[in-house]
Amino acid sequence: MMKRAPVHVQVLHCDVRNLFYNNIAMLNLGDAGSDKAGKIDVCYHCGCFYSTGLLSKATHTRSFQVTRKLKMRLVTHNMMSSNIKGVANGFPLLIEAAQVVEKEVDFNADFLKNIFARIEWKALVEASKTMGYSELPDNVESSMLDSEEFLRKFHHALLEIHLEEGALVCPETGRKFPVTKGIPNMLLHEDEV
Amino acid sequence: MWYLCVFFHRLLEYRKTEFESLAGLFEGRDGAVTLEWRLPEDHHPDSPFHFVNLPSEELARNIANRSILVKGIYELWGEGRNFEELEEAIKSYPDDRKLPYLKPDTTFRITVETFGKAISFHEQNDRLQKLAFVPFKGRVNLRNPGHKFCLMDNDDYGSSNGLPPVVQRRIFFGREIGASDRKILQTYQLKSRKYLGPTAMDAEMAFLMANQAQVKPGKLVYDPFVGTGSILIAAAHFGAMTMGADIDIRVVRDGRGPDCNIWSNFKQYGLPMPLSLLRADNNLPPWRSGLKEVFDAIICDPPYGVRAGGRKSGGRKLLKGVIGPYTVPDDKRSNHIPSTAAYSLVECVHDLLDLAAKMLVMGGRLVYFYPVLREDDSAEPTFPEHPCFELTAKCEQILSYRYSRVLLTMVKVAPYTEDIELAARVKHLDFKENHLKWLEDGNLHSAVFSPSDVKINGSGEKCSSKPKYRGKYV
Repeated sequence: MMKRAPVHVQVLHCDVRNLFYNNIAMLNLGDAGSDKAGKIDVCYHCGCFYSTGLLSKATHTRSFQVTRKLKMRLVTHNMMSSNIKGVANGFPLLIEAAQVVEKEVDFNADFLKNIFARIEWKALVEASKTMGYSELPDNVESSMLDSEEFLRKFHHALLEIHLEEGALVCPETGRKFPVTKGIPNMLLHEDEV
Repeated sequence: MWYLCVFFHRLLEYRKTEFESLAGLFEGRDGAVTLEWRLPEDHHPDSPFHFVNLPSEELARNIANRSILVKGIYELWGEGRNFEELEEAIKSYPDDRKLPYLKPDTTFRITVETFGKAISFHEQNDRLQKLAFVPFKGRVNLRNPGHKFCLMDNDDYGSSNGLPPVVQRRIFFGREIGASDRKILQTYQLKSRKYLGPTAMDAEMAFLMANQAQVKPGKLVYDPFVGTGSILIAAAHFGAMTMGADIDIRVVRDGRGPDCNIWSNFKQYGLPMPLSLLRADNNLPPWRSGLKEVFDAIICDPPYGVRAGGRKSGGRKLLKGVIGPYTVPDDKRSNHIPSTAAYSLVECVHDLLDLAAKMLVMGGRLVYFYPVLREDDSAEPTFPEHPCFELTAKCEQILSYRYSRVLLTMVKVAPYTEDIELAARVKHLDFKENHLKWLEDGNLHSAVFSPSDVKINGSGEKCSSKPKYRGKYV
């Protein structure tokens, strides 16, 4: 087989939900593939995966081994507050979402039941609305944990919505804690300690 | 029932504690578990052979299969000083315990093990022939047997095995109930892991830490000094949900590129990704004030200033008082890189205990390494204490002539009260005000690396006063 120099190919769109099966992505490249072999680097729709496979010109649909990078989830948001010196009420942090990604995560009912009591419900509802998910009920009680439907929604909001790029904003001072590549940077400046 | 437990001859202090932690895990007990142990006649406590009393065979199997340091747990069919005694013992062992495993429709395998001496294949066969009196009716299957038997011999080989000589030879024969799966150590070995840092935790030790923390599926494990994630990987292997934080944003966010970072390490082993990674300072953690009792275990290797030093926010010049309070100009805020200051070990451990006391569930476990200087004259070292915690295990691993590290396992036994929180806050301010004093107090680096003041003549004597025979410290 003739070896071709890798050429960067932009993937314009991929449906995240249908994309993954055991970390193998089926990318339909459409026009983007053209007739050149290339290395897919990043999906410009959601900006979250990298491939190690090479494209051939024969077909535009290829399977790739990809890296799934997970981002800040709402469970993390629910646990954190602004800890700047002098701030009395740093919770909940407001979310400035520049890029939101949804990822399928294995469902674990026991974990959800365990963590339920530790979650500030109102903050979770607000945060998931900011991220574009408004299926959560405003009021909850522990008896709802018996309902599979509720658990699925809770699971989705808590673990499957990821903030990729954006910021967490202190509700009192407006200080922004940047979130880049899904990692919130909670370190304080010298004058905030 | 009493079982024969044979350990691997390494990390000696970790062996029984790992065993007892796993007993607690499978019996659903949070606190310290103390089992009944007995040594074979004439054996030194560091011997790999031990008898242990366990309520059921199922528990024995679970412990052995999950453990890292148990070579095997056996139902002992007989022991003796020589083959005549062994034969007599096996013959007098009740038939109803033996016959089900000797039936015609079974498959079996017998292995010959020795301790402290290697024997040739020919000698192994000779010993197997001596077992001819046992009525094995099944078929031999070396690769995938239904029942495994083991003949273990430990001769009076002298002191060459690193242990005080065993006065009497002892031979054991038993049926294997379970054994450690050391293959996972191959799978997770550091040299084939993609993203490594200078202090990445060795895979064997990381698994031992996870076992000490009684990690199991559905539990939430946190590492406040996550680095390259080597401890969380072990926890995730055992099914835990993981969370990590680090003050160094380069390791948690960037790694060495898109295919070489913490996420890629988890992916390499097909493990579920951490629940979250964040950049945060252990000295000023970002957790909201009402949040408590969320983590089931906190496992970490705090920076103690020998191979890697800890950092905290605040700025070194600021805390030393060299410069006055500093305000970041508004136009510089968005890309400002805050300066950090050295973080003394005492303060780091204080913060860790305070965080753990607050954030662990009742019965949750804090597992971490604590460095100890190996002074000749020092008595038993003192370890950190906290009103919420009970120290259930301490296992030493010697790192150099000067110092060793001790794996501490603490169990949360009392709730985190307002009084404790207040005391912790007062202490936090004290650390901040007397930054320099605390930094000098706990300076391990100079103690470990400063030139020795011992004269060459005297050092020979000094060496011999420290126990360092191979068995104990390998």
